[in-house]
Amino acid sequence: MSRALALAWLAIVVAAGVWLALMAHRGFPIQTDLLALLPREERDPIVQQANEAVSRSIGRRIFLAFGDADRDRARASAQQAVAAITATHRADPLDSTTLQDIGRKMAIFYFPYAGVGNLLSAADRTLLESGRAADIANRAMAQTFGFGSPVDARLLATDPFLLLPSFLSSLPAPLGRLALDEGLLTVVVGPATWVFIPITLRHEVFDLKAQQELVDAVDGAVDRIARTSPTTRVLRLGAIFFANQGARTAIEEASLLSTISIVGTILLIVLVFRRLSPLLLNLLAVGTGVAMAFAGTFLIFGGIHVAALLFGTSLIGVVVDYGLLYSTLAFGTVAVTGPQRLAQVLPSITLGLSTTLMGYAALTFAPFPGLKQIAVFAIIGLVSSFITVVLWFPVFDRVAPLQHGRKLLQLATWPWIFWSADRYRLARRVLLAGCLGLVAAGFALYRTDDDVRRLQALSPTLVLEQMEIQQLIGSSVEAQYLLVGAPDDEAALQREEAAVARLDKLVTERAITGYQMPATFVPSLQRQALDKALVEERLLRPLLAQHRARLGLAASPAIVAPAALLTVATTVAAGTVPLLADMVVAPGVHIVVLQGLTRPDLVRAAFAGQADVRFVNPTADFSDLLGAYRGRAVDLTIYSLFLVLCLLVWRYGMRNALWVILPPAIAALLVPAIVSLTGQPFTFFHAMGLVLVIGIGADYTIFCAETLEGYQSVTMLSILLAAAMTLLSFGLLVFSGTLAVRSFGMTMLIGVTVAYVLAPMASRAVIRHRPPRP
Amino acid sequence: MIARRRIVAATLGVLLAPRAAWAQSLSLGQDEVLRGRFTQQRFLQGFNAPLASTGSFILAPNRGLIWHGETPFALLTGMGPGGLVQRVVGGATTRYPASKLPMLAQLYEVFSAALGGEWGKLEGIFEVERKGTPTKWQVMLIPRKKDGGMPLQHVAVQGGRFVNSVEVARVNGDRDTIEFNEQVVSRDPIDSEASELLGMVSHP
Repeated sequence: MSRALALAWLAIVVAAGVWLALMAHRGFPIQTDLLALLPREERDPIVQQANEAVSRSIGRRIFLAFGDADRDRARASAQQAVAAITATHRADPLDSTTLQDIGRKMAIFYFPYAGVGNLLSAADRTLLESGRAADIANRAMAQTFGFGSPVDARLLATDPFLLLPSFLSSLPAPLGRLALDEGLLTVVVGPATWVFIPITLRHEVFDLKAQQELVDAVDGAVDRIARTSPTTRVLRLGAIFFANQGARTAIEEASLLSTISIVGTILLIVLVFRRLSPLLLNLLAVGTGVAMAFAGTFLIFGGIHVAALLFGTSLIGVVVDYGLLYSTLAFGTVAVTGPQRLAQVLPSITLGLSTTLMGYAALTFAPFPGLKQIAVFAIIGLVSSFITVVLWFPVFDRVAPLQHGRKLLQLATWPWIFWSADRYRLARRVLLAGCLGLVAAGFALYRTDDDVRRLQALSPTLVLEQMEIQQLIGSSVEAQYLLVGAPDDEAALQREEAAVARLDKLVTERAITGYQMPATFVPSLQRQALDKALVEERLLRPLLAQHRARLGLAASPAIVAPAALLTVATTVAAGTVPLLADMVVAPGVHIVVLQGLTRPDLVRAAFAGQADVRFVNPTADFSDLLGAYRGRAVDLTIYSLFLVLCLLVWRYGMRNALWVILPPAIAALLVPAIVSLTGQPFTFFHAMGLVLVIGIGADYTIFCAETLEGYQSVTMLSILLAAAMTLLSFGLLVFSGTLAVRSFGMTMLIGVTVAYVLAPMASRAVIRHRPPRP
Repeated sequence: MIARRRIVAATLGVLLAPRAAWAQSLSLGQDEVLRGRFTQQRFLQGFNAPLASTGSFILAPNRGLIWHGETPFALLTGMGPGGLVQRVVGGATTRYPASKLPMLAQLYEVFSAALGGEWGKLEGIFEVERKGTPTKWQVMLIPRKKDGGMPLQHVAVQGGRFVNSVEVARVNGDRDTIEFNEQVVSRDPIDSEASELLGMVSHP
């Protein structure tokens, strides 16, 4: 029976292995978008949609700048880079024809809507309202008769006061201070000529393959420029460069940490057992655990997030627990055959697995997609490793009772003696009092910080280059924006028009340098009708006849009223207005893009209390969310502690169960206390580790509680080994460059160490009150 | 719309200057300026009579061009590397900086190339046909790209020592003719208002 099961398990593992090998051949689908780790629920869907639209729009934009005192060298460098980028087919550099066409296409698009003033610039509206219609008539005369007049017959017939050209030239310049110089966007600053290449990605910014190819192409071009034209400076702006660097760091780190973890594990087992067989068996347990976990995660999620990969590889430290408890039985003398040894460890590892699974299962309730992946990865890995121990270890185990290791056993037993010997009664009380003191002192200093910007270490060089480019262009598009929510586009446009006065005030207060909104390009129908009436009353009725006479038009064609009023839908569909589509998220949901934002507080205050025009600061919102989930992770810890307690009550009775739960509970309390004492704020990622501390800590106390008389040393050795391995894997994360990962490692380091030291405390209580076994 | 004015402006700049290079008998020195009078007639489709205007102009190498309309409407226009500026006499000044419309920069290249008498540079944008003698010549400029933002059919220039007339034909059938006369080269200072306008457009 057990043989058949072992064979069945072999078939499953082999199948998973083959599938993984096929996947590896095609390249593992690894995701690196840190935002993908964010919860999808509990967010305003409109804000979320808008955030995605904004980050997608910003994320796809790249700017490269090439600066040199010699204009030709700057231009040649830029053209070299354009050629390299075009060759990747991953992005499209904006060419000069497209740039020149923008204005022409817009003029053609707006022309049929011109004529009777339904498109009116703000300045012209002010002129008409203040009774200065004659200024407009004079301007039209100037433009008609002036040098190189733009006026043609069709325009003059439709729009004799030339209100449309005025409207068009009032639209914001799409590229700040940049001007075209022989087909390239250029700005001259001091002695240097800067040439700019705007580039649009064809793929999402976090598409790892496209990202790598494009960044390689840019890097290659920059290297060549550095060799052939050493005086040329190259600046980059774009989320892709940050994303690429983040992904590289995470992958390098993950491979380094997991290598150290694996090598450390191997060395530890070989040194302790002085046999190859326990090493091979435990490698088998770890190998099947990790392979099955990978296969399962790919199967369920279709890919794996780089963070899950990072945490997942650390799982090696936990899956090794069960195999180690089994293998250390070789240091004992009672159980000498495989089946005997399995029978002895089975209650411990079953109970241990159950409690740890509870911890991870609690994690799957966290609405963070990344955490779900980690939890699923861990659950599959743990169960697989457990099955391997139960089905395969007794079959392959040929290790005779070991004679060495007396000193090691003595060393490992020390915590057991500390918690059981009478002579340490005072020391025990002092230690517990010390723990209590630490908890009290720590919580006095306890503070939290959920600022999302601390999560990712941004390259300072890239940040500086980005700032320099924004200065050169004279504008920057911010991730913060105003979100306009209304039942339909018309209502949204009206709300934007109502916000203009406040926005202009913010510009004069230098809170922002500028803004763009759909209403700039498409006035509301209401505004179009009002403007039309204003033009009719103040301009056409009093001045049209006279104006025509001055133009010398004897028999002028009649003014043709526009066929229809301009709407957002038709304008977006025409696709001629740059970036308009990015500002219209959905019908009635519009974005007001803010430029050069320096005082988010003033902007927030200006729109405070308004439900339909809201200042959205994704970074701050994201941080608030992390704070909420930090609270939720703490709740989960308490919840999983309670679940473990229920299981323990079922097994040991209420009073003993309370003793068994104490070590992991104290460990979980000491983590925030010690983190606070080191001066660090407590974050969501610290809290996330707490759930695991409960699971692992419960393993240790259960192993102690289930220990048979005479096997205390063996159990303690297995716990020592398990703790050492967990620290080798989880604990190593404190060296990560990413704060989130480092925080998680810190929790594991403190929690696991404390759990190991305190574990025998509970077992002592259980042994005293253990009911006689059948 | 504004861009189209630039095109014509640039073209005119081209045309006023190169006559020196063509004739090879006159070249404006650093502080020399060309002054003269113009009569402009604008033939628009669907209008019975042409829109006519008259006035004077000043061309100052490396600084720009002043176009001073007198009838039927008093208007001062300055054009240079920095863009275009218009002042209604006794009224408002309107600036159209080069950065507002990227196309202008390209067009100013045409302008400045011509100011230097460098026909070679113009040949990138126009096909240049020359006929006649140094004292009586014609130049026909035809844009190489019809959709390249230049809504021009052709530009025809006639001249001798100076440019005598220019015809600008647009793709939509509209046509401008400008006749020049009383042209004088001198070192007389430019009046303060024209200087002010040139100051606003002579630098990018």
